[in-house]
Amino acid sequence: MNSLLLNTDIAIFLLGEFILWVVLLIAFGVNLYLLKKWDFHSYTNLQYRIEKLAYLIMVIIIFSFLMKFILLPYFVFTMDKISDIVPGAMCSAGVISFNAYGMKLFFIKMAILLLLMIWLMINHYDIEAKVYPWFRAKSWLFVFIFILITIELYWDYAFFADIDIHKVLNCCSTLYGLLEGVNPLPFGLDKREIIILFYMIYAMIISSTFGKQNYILLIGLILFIPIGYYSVLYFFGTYIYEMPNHNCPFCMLQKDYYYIGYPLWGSFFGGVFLGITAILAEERLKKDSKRLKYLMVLSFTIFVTICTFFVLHYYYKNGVFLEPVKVEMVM
Amino acid sequence: MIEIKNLNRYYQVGKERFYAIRDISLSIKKGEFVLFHGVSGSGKTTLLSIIAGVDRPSSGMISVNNELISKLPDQHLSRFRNREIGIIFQHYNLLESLTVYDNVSAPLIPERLSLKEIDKRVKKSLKIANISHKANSIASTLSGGEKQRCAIARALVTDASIIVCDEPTANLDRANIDIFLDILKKLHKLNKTIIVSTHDPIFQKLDYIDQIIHLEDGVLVS
Repeated sequence: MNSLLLNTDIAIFLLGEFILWVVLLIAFGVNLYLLKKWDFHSYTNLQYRIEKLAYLIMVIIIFSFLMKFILLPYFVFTMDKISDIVPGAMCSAGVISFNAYGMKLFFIKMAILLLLMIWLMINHYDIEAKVYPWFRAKSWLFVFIFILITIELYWDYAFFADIDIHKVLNCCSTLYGLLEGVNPLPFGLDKREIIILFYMIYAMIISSTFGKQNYILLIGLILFIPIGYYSVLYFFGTYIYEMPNHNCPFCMLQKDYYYIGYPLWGSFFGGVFLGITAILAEERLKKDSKRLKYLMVLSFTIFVTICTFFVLHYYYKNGVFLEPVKVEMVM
Repeated sequence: MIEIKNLNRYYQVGKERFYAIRDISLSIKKGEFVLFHGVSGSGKTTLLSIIAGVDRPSSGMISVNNELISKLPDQHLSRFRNREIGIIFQHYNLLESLTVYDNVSAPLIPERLSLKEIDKRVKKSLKIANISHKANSIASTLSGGEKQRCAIARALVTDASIIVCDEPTANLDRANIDIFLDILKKLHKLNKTIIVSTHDPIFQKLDYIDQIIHLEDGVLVS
């Protein structure tokens, strides 16, 4: 067995994930039974017992889901911590890129969080409606989420078990650096253009939220995912690190940078997830989701404020902006 | 309006199933004064508890004011109970260390009303229940009759349309029983639906009772 699995943080993380999976496995089994037997218009003892059971299962799922929201930052924190013992890695960037599971794992975790948020939203409206109109929809969604969580658990184990601490890893400067001479920015944009787009899309999201234009909001959200990510990686991040060539989404999660990466990425992905959930609530369930949208606006505003703060703070301290790095295009 | 169809409530003890009420069907119109009559263990309190949303049936349908209460999720049921049902318990169930005023205002806390509105409603309820003069007294210092009037005021404060009373006269002397019956009559005139579960024969003599429902071993006999 890989001795890395005995590392305290990894052991806690894997055990936590496993316990949650066991709890969700029980919920999954009961959920299948409920799906088979559910008949809201029946007044039999079986249906009443099923309704009580459904409520209990809902509470278990909500609890497990909240734990999942906590376990994602803990996963990143764990990767960051083990970067100290893995040669070559200076932050989570190196660890996550060690094997094929790393990035897959990260994406499946993000997908699960998005689906969990959607499940919570459907569940909220389902309970609020008194007659459980979306019971089957949310139950099938839970089945799908549970399958993903099972895959995630296997990948969690496989990812950590496959890390060889005797092998030298890549650091973030190799992974995200501009050394290859290739423009890493999307759509052939340069830094100036991406920053202009960053603020324009933010304004577009805010205005479409208050203008109640869901399709424009959706386009804004889809565009903001790459634009927001690359803006942080290749522009705002350099102000956080105060180094023009340090491009890494993970180093900012470290103590040296006051763990600013957690609120920064948390508010970014939180905003995206809240936005998508709000649009689904309005377009699919025909429910007013003002509160979700306000939370999304708040989330993105925190994200943009943190990003902008570091640029202004650097300028205030030094009287100049960081020199932009020249990006050579490969023709 | 209360509509009950094929209502059962049973308790499973090992392989045995004990029925508290069995196959009850009845209907109570708005503003009616209804008496559940029967000896101890006949299922009166169980039926009353299910109507009040305190207990849930094992099977069967119950609708109160067009709300299928047996199927309501917990948070909706609590809200429903707070707004629609006023309960007067046999042992009053007051918060003994609080004043009468505080006891009566307690059901309004989840309603998030202004203090002015709460004060208005509490004073009105205290007046109907004829207990205004004891508003600042601690509940534990009250006599049995006063405690019950405090419980009545508490049941009225949310302007509930249905008042349920479980053995309300069991702990009262004759004078207090008369006061209590006067208050019930007053509430009946206010078009409240009143359901009393009792084995006290004094209720059967009242001329304003609309329905008397006799229960025996959990079964409706008449």
